[in-house]
Amino acid sequence: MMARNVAGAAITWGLAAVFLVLITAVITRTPLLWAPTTFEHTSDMTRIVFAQTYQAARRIYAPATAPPIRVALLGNSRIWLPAQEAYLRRELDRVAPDLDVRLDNLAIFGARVGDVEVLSRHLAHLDPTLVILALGGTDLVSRPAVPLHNLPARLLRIGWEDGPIAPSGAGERVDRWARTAWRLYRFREFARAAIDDRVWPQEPARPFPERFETTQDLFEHMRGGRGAEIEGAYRAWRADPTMERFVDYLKVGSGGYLELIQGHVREGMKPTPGSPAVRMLDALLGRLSRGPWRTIVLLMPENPLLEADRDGLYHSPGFSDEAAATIREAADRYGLAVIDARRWMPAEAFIDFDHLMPDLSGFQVPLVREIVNAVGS
Amino acid sequence: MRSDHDLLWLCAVIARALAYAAAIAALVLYAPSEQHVFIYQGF
Repeated sequence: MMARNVAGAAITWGLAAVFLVLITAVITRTPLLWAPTTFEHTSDMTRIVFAQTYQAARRIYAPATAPPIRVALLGNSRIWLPAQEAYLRRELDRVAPDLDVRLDNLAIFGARVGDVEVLSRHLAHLDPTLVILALGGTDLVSRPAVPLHNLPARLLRIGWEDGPIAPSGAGERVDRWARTAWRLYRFREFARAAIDDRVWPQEPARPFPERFETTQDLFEHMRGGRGAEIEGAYRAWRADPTMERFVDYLKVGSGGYLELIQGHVREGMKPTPGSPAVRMLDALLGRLSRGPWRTIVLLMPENPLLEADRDGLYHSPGFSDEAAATIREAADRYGLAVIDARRWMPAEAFIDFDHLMPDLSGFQVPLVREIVNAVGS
Repeated sequence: MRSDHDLLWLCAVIARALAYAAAIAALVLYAPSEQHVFIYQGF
């Protein structure tokens, strides 16, 4: 008799709800979820997007000190690599040593415009002073194999209203509402991974280096064990700085990358007015413009070697200007500043056609100049 | 005797509530959800 009363009593369920609130707080507001893990610096390409999404969530939600100026960087590998905090911090210390700035690079490898739009839904929690949205034209190009929103959008989706792309069904909408209302549900994939990691820690992966002295160091880190071979191909290009030699170097360093960008050129669907990419961009810029922070849209540097690709094997001639115009038009609609950095960097600053060399490119110099200009004015 | 029963009942309520909460949390955390594997091909 007593057992039945206990099981069904309203007080039992009321207390269970209280305990659930406590369990949620213990898991999602403490080092149990946000302390360093052994998986977060993984270089395993099947896990790296999850790990970086977790790190972005930690930057936003883990309790931390908040200096008066907080700069958040949004984007993908284009900005993740050359704008690591260590590189920016060294440059900041050089040009503005008295500036007390917190830098949060929230970029995630492979993040497309739809992923960044979802990530931006969390920005109010971070309360940045300045948001720099790093975009490249191809971030707006979709392919069946590379949609405009991927794992980061699925892991981070919150919001009471549907975003620019309607959910696939009622289940997805309810899931999003549950993530919005309940932190344990919102972070359940991260919490599961973190708890598993506390119980069964793996061999910790090395963090991304805070300094690179040579290109060979960089190739060695990024292509473990093949640094010397790739350095040889890279030097051959530097001695004969033609498009053909650069492609030869890429074939040695990353044949998969060449296939990927050729796929983009062949199958990519370019943004058109009202297309999903433009709707996502519009939602993203609209939200950023409504925040209490200043926003800069940064059109990321492009490898000038692409101008020699007249046959359009590795890029779509003219698309860079079209995409820049689309982005500028959307930014103008919301009164957001656009900085066109597409011609900022020489070819030797790039690892490939899209990515700047971390540290060695020197991209941190003009980027920090823009940050100081923005937060100092 | 009455107060002993009340105390026992309260302990049972707390234990049951804690078990419910823990079970729901475990279900949320460990029920199958998002596929974490996403092969990054950017380089």
